[in-house]
Amino acid sequence: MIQVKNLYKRYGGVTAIDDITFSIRKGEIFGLLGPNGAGKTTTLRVLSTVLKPDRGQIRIGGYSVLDESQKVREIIGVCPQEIALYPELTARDNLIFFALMGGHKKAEAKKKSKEILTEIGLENKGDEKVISLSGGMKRRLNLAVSIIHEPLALFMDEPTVGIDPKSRAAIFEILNRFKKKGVTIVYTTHYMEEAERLCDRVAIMNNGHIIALESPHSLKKKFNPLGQISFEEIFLELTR
Amino acid sequence: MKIIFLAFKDLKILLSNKRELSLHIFFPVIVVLLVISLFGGEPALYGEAFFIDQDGGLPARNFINRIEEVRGLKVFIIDEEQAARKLERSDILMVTEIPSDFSEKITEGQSPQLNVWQRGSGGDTGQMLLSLNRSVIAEMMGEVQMTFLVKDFAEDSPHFQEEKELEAFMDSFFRASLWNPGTIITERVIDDQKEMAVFFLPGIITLFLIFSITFSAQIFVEEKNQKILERLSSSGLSKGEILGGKVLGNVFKGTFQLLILLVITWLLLSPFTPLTFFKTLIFSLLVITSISLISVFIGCISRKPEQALWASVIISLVNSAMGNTFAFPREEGTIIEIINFFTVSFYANRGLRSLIIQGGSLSGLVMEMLALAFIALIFLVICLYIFSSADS
Repeated sequence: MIQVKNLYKRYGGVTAIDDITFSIRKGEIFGLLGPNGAGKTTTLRVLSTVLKPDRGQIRIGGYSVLDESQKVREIIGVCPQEIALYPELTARDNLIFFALMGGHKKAEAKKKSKEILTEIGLENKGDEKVISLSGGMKRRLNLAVSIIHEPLALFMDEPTVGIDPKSRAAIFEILNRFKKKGVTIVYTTHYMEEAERLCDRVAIMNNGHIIALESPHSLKKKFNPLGQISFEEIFLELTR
Repeated sequence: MKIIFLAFKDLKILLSNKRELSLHIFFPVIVVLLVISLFGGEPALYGEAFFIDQDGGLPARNFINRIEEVRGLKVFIIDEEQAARKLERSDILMVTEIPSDFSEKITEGQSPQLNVWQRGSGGDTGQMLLSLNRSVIAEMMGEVQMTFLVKDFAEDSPHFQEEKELEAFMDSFFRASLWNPGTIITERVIDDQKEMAVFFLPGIITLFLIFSITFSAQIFVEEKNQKILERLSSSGLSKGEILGGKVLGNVFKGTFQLLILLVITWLLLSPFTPLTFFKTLIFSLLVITSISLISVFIGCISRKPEQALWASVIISLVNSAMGNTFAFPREEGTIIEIINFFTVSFYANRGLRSLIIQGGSLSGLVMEMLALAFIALIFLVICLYIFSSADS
């Protein structure tokens, strides 16, 4: 579904991504892990057509990110780390607005917003302004906006930062549902137990390089055959 | 279509924010009421009269003095070159030229000729001046005719044998007639303070539009920093669509602010006829569009909302201090006048003043409209070049 080859990007005077290559299968949940400044968010922004790479090739769903960015945008969903919603609009209005921006007709956008509010457990909060929702609810809505147009690939940048366990569980449930539908998910996080639980494979990044690319299970087996240390400790060891 | 949705969303946000909405309504009411109370009892300014005095004689000076005596009319003497330049730039709509033989003809009792140069109909003030010129000339001619009659009569009389003596008598006679005119006109001005407030109306409109629209630039920066614009971009919107939506959103919000202002001033001051209201609305849309692009430009170059706020405050201040908003530099070629040319309010105020105060037509404002369109185009090109939804 996603092929990245020799990707390179300098950003703000430093090399944010330094010649990385990987590919992601359809329906896979792929974790991008690494300390702050490792290049995770930049990789995600390049994959989601927001930033242009300096070198390298990326294909998503058969389309080149560089040459067919408009086609790529039609099949991807992006969930940024920030709550990228209009605080003065209601949850429903935000969903309808972004569905319209995604190319849906008005009636269709209204129908989809109703469905998705139920799916994220906010059916009773649809007419409340975003500003009045709790942090967890905002996070769920932030995710809902990025999937309202039913993308084939979903890019998520730390979607569970600072939220309550209930909202986190709701987000995991949505992601698993999407995985079953065959949606490819690329996910960055600082929570190792979250990556271990959710991701089929993880790429650990450090200083713009990929230093490990395997399933969490294989990584644990490789670096900790006796099962004495946690996945988080393996991560800390690798990124030291 | 996405541009329209994007623009309506901005208007919807404004309308759903009760606090911001109330500021959009109450501030104009407060400012208009303040202007009315500040200028209560002040004489109204009807307009300005421009003359080229080619004659320079006493009768010509006398003619200009009599025009100047009309309450609320300001007279300016300019030369032919200045007149041509001011008319060309639509600074003024009418000039009256007093030819070199004016004094000679009027002293001989012949009808003097006045040359009038005007743009279009010369505006309401121009029409008023034409009629004023005629009545002052008729008055002066009447006095000359009467002096001749008295002179003829005096030739057969033992009195007033000396010409100087006769002239002194006629002079005192005409002065006395001024104190005891044949017709007594009592002026009763209803709410005379309104006239003065209307004089400030174009400046108030321009200032409110500039501030309320450039103020939106900080919302643009907030959306950029909150990655909302990035999300729009990854939703498939092009750079042009995002910018177009933001500009149109500003135009909607600016038009909403304008309508509030016009309705308030119509209710409090009644300065419009339906036609002047419509013309003001059309011209203001062009003003709003160019300010909207400046606002988007501020949004593009600012990294923090506070920077955008400061930029909007500074632009509003410069446009209110300059650009003929409330002050009018008379000297040509000064730095102030040159800076004026680079402000939006200069063209906005000239246009609105011409439409609201002088009753001018839109066709007489081609230069102002071209200047505003040029400002809009320049900022559109710059924004398209520099805008990035991501801070790359």
